[in-house]
Amino acid sequence: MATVSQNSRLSNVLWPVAAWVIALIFFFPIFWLVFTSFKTDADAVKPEFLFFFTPTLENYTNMTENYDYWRFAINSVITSTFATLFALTVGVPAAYAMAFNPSRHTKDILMWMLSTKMLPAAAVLYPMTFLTKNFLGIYDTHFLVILVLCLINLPIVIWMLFTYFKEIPKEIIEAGKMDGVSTWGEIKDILIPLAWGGIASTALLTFIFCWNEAYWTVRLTTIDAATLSTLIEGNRAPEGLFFGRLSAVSTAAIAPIVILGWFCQKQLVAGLTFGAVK
Amino acid sequence: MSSNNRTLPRILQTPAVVLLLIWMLVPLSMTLYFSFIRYVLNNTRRPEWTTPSPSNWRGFGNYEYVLNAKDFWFAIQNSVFIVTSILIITVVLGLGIAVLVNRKFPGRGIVRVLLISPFFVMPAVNAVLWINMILDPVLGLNGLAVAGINSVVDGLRDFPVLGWFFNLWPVLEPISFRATQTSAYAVIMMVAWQWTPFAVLIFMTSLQSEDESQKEAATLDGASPWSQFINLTVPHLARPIAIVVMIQSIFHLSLYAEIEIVSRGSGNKNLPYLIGEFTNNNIGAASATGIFAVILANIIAIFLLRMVGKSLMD
Amino acid sequence: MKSLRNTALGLSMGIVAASTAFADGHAKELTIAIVNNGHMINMQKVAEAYTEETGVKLNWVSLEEGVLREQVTSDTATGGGQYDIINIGMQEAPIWGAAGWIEPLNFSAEYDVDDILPAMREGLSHDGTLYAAPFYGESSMVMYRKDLTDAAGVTIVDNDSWDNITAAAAAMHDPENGVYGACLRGKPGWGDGMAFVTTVANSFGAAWFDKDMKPTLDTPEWNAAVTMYVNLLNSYGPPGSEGNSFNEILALYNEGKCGLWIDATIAASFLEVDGVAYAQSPNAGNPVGANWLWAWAMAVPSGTENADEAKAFIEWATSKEYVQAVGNHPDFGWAKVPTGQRASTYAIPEFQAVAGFAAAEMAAIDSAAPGATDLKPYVGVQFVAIPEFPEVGTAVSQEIAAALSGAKSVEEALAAGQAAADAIMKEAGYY
Repeated sequence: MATVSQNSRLSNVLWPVAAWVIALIFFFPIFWLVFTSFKTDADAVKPEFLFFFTPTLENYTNMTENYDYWRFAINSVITSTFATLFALTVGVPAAYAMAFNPSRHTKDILMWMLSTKMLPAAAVLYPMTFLTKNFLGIYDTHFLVILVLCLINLPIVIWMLFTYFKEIPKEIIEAGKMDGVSTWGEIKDILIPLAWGGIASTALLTFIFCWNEAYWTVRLTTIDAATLSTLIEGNRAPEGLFFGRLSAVSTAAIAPIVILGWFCQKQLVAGLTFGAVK
Repeated sequence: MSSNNRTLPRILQTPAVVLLLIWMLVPLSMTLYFSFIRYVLNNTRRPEWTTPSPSNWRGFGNYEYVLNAKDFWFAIQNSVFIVTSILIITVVLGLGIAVLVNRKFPGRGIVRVLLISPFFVMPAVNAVLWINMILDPVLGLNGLAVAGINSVVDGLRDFPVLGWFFNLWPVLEPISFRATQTSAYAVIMMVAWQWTPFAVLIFMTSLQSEDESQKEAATLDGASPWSQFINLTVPHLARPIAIVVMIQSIFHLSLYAEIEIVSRGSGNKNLPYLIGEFTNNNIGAASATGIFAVILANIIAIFLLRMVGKSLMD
Repeated sequence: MKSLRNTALGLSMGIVAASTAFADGHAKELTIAIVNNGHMINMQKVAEAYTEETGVKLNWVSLEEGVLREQVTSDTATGGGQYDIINIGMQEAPIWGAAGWIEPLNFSAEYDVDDILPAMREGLSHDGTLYAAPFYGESSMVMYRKDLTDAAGVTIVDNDSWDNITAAAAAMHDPENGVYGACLRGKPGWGDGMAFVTTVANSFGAAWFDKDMKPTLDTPEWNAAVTMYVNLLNSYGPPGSEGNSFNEILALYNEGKCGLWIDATIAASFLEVDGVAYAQSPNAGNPVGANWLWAWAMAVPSGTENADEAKAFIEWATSKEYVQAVGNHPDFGWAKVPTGQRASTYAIPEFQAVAGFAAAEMAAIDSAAPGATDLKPYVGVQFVAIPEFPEVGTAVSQEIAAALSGAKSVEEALAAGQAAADAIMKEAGYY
């Protein structure tokens, strides 16, 4: 008995220590990025200033003066928000139908949708440029970016929602039907409130994926609809010493989404089940 | 009522299905067409190839060219290698960390926040941060750490008795992560850093739903924590593991920015990157590679979805 | 398809004609794609005066070199229209001009086109027509630490032999104290590592292609050049050379970690260490092509609706007045004027006073030889002015990086490079 309690006392100390150490290791690169962003480009490569240096905001002022950070940031917010909303608007009814009125083909449709997510973007880049520029004339518009972000995330959205909806007892929905509630009413008054946690998690995850998408957003925009990914592309290897500049731009590009993630951490932990929890 | 039962779901699904169908079919059919013709953006010898006209029909010529091109088979093999490595690392680390933070201890909330942060970082930022500021063999922390160790050892060489021992120590050479032999590992490392938090998130959620009464019973029966983990926790996590594997495969098959930033394709390629190399001029070859990539993705999709998807449908 | 495109083109041209008729007196906007280099970023500030004067609003899109090239290529190839002015290099200018992707540039007399350095003009023209105006230009040269060579008792002279360069690097090499004898580019990419290796190969009498445009990477000259390069870097270079290009080496050099560095002359204006001396590029018997020639130039894509305004801006940005504007700008000054484009820049006394490297840079640019010769039947020094070269250069460059990091032998790497280059050239219909 004595050994057990000693053991558990030891583990009571070691357990949190191990958790903290691992967490700090995982967070260290982000810390280092933010830390470096306050060094000048010249100081950032000097070992003598590795930990102790005179902090400067030079990189941040430089970024806002030379690169119009806010335009990119606003575009990121607009496109990610609307793409998420749009994906949910299309995804909720589809997932509702699949979860509560499944047909023989529902499984196949869902699988097919997920498989579209696996198509390599590079394979259709040139046709997409060609189509959106020469035929549709929507190249470099918010509309195009929103549409593309929505489409690339739609399969995941539908699948996630489907798994949440399936956990809702069918009887509750059926009861609504008996009471003569319309389909729209069912979705609005019964389904959405019941599955709210799942919908919120889906929205969050979609927003994160939209914000971080770089392949399409960089290649289908020039200036009007360019997002923070384009800002990163312009600054990832500029001429000369650049660690300080790059760190500042990177910090500014990921800060909004990381902070949002922190605030919604509980929601994510609770909601990311993908139907795995029964 | 019965007809309503069938048509309404169909109507509700229609927008999603139609949008995805267009999104998939239109560009893909163009890619398919381009893959059968000679189509280059610029060619001074054969200007007629610069228009996507049916008269440039080439049959399977582009496919033949691509199959024999440098690095085609390497790209497929390497792609599978990278994805599998990332999957193994993230699942194993994710399981361990999820179990670790599932217990209550002081500051657990902050630990969780710190742990999941990498998942929110943009892939391009992830790559430039790791390859420049951390892994660079001279200017990054990698190089600075090795230089630091060397200088400490060097200082110790002057000590009377111990010096003899430290004189036997070699001068360490930092590993370059942009080299042909190591660039794939650099990419695996940075992607695993970013996606382990995702695995942790999903495993954490599942662990919280684990049946505590079962565990208590097992403890009373005298089962060790390890056997509890193997016999109760791991089976419970089979489905979340399947999900982590599936979602990550979907994302990692199309890695691009990380490969470009780390080594520009030296020693590390996948099909999307190979397509990117062709796209600068040879659209026909890029399209044929694209079709191969689509076939590969579908093979993996069928395999994965069969394995994972089916169980999730029930 | 073609006819549809033509109709669309005609239609848009009609709209353009109509809109320009109404647009007189309205503020115009120009979208300019630039690479993220110091001179270009400074231009954004200097050009505020241009906007004030003319009312033309300027939108800058700065991208990484490779992505910019990819973006601009796909835009231009699909009829253009996204950009009014594009930053292109010497590799693209003549072939894009020949393909009709960019417009010929005819400037007014006061622009003084003859003042542009002849090598630059030649490199940016096709059939005698200028297609892109040089914003700044560069060659390559040796930048070495005179204090270190003096201490080691070695000397480096203009057009030195590679044997002597290797000996000097060996003499300065002191890794225990953090000094590496030679820092040279190795990063894969036709504009990065390959640019430097090509100049080395040229200096050994090698060339990319023979007169039938068959690749010649399997020749003894290439082997000798790459073997020398790999041995030099592996013996006296910093760790991780296969990942180093301009930026990485600049950081190393400014940290005092490099004995000698052979790279773009533009680097001289970034150097902050004392005791730097310059020398013309070394060779192994063939001085032609031992130093490269490059310009970041500005061109007008054919699809733009604002060609006249775009040309007017280019005329301003590549003029003598622009150099004066930067020199007199409170934020920049004479040390930061773009160089390598015009002879007159080098005659400015204020510039001469602050630029110790000016004479060496000018000599290097003057001696660069982009023209075709019997040995090298194509245009370009460290590149080949054909559309297929980026693909060929990058493929070979990946192989040389593999040789540098020891994954392959030089023979294996060159054989693989030869096979890849041969396949690409055959595919492109050269033979």
